[in-house]
Amino acid sequence: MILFIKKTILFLFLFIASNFIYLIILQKTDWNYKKRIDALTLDAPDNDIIVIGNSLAMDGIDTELLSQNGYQSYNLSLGGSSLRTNYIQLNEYLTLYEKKPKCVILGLGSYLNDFEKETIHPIVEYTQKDREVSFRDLPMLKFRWLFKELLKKLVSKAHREASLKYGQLRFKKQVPDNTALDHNNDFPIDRYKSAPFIYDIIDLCSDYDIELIIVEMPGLKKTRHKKRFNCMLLDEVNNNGLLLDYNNFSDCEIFDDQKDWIGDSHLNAYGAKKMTTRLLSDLQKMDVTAPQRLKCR
Amino acid sequence: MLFNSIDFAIFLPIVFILYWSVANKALELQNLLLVAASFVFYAWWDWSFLSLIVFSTLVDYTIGLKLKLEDNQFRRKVLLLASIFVNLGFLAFFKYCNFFLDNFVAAFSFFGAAMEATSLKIILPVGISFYTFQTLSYTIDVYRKKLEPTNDFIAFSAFVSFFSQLVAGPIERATRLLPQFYQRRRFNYSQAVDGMRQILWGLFKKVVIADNCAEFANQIFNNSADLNGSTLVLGAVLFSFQIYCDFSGYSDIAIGTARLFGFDLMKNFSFPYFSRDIAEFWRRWHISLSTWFRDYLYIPLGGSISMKIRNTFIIFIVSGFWHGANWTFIVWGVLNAIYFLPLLLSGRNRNIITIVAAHQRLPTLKELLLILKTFTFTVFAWIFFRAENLPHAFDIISAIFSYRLFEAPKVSNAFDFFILTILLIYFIIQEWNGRRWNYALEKFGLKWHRSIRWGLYLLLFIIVCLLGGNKQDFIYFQF
Repeated sequence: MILFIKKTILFLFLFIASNFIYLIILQKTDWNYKKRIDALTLDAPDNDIIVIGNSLAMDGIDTELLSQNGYQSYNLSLGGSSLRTNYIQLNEYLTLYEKKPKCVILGLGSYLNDFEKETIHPIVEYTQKDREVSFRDLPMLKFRWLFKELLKKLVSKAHREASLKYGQLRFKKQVPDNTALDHNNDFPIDRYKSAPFIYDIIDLCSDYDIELIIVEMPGLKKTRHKKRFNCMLLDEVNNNGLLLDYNNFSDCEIFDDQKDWIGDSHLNAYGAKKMTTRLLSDLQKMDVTAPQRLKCR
Repeated sequence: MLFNSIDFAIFLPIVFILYWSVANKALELQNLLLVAASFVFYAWWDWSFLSLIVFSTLVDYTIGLKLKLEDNQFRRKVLLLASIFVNLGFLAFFKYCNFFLDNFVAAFSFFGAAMEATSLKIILPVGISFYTFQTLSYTIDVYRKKLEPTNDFIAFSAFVSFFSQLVAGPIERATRLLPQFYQRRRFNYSQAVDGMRQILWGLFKKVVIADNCAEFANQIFNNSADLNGSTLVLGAVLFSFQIYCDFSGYSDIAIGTARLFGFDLMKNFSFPYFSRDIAEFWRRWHISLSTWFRDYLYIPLGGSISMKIRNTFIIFIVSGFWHGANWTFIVWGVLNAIYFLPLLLSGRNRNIITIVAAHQRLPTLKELLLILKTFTFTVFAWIFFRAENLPHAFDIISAIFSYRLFEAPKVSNAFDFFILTILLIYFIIQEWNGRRWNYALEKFGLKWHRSIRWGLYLLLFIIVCLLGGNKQDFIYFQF
């Protein structure tokens, strides 16, 4: 009996040790994890623009290009994150660093995101201060899904060759968009209007006098809206939360179906450059770095 | 409480330590602790249905004692029927009430009499089909005087509610399991280590193979109208692996857990997909249920050749119906009866007894073809088992037997499918390698150096954690 218990404890010890090894491997190799650690340890950042959102924004907004054009930027978005997570990340950034950004860009895709999702991204939850610890926090249970990402890197050169620049994850891999335009797609404005965490983010930005621009990110052809949605301010009282639609038939004409995508509505590095150039021209028109200048294109 | 949950991972060591330390002093304490632990285990899901188990236990315990005192054959029969009525009455109410109600209304509507009926909102208590059959086996065996009724109520309660096999079997016979509760269990190191190994293999089957197959199988069956024939075949094959690994994985965990507490439960699966004909398949699939039906239904029905045909249909239809209140299960049963009958009538149903290639490393070409043939028939029958209803099953079958069968299969997540394929290949090799044992990992690597063997176990456990599919309920919980 004692021998059995001793051996079981030894086995558990080896398992826990394997968990730590797994965590170290993730911290060194996983894009999301690396980014998260980066974002928490930036050295006196001087960013004018902070990008938040999920993988659509993480892949699709080229913060290096924005920085080269006069808007010092950092892409804080994380793959698979909810709006609640985006709120937490932004709040952390604003609390942690003295220099506040002038503008925050929230990149979303109504065709892919669940705006109501309340869960916090596991990596953010795990690295938050004062979190409660439970059995479920064992890295092999908490970050199970990242193991497949690791395996992808092992077998796929394109995944290995991806890189992080200014927080943007860049893939050069090209996956053709073989979907077709749907002429019945309208912009789902109600989904934006009814998402509580969007308003929390707007309030947070307003508290710090930061302009918030919410971007419906471009997606594959089947997701696009037949007509561009005329932009609107979600919070008219504070004049904040400008909603822009880049996922429509006309704005998406800039993308090459064969070359600009990496699959499932995610832009590769080439597509991200085009998307950011388009965004840049709008930012320049609005002059977002000047306070309270948000207006529609 | 699910076996593949953190809750169970905490519950099991607590009960294990209490059992072998505090309760180890006396048999009564061991049994009492098992009853208490089993009630907690069941109440974790829904405490209100505990009353059903308690009631069933009380009824069968009392009837058992009365049967001992009663010599009058008529009164003995009445007592037996009372037990059957109570146990099957619960089962009929909770499991089949809506099915009969709906079909009754449909039959009346067919003959032009419009009827309106609202289905009752009945929750099926987890495990009712399993513990009902287990308690019935006790009363029937006492009635047949094969078993002395017990005076020990705690031991009997532990036999009915033993948490390791309470909700999904194996359905134990009282003659086999009950005597184990009469003797104080002593800790046996090799038995416990073997139990842990079997739990590990069960977890691998359930969490890694079954849950990953489920993701693809569900996607394919839920979108069957839009998919080509080859994709639907792939869906049916994946479901075949899902249901086998789900249920046999559960059984492995149940048997392994029981071994940790000093019990030997019966083998429930014996590599059924390596069977060379349907008769062999049914000797290797859900053995505790098949033998239950054989002992308590098929043999009592007895009879001539024509009776054998009738009885085979009865057994398979009842077996199908036991799985659920849906015509799909009945058709699944009929189909298996049709597969089985030619073997029975030609006297070839017991031709194949030993495991395939018992003394060789690989099967002969003939054996391989027979295995593939049996597997194909089984997969075809699983389509009915998995389909939502009969039209759904027929739609899938007609799509399979169309020119679109020759198109390449389409799966939504190629990388995940690639990983699953590798895992399935490993699983099949491991199962083949261990086909002569009780479970595939039983004696695997026992002669290797300890560090290598431990490395393998650790690797398997890590794979369970990292490559497990999205958590799915055990399929057999719904039965």
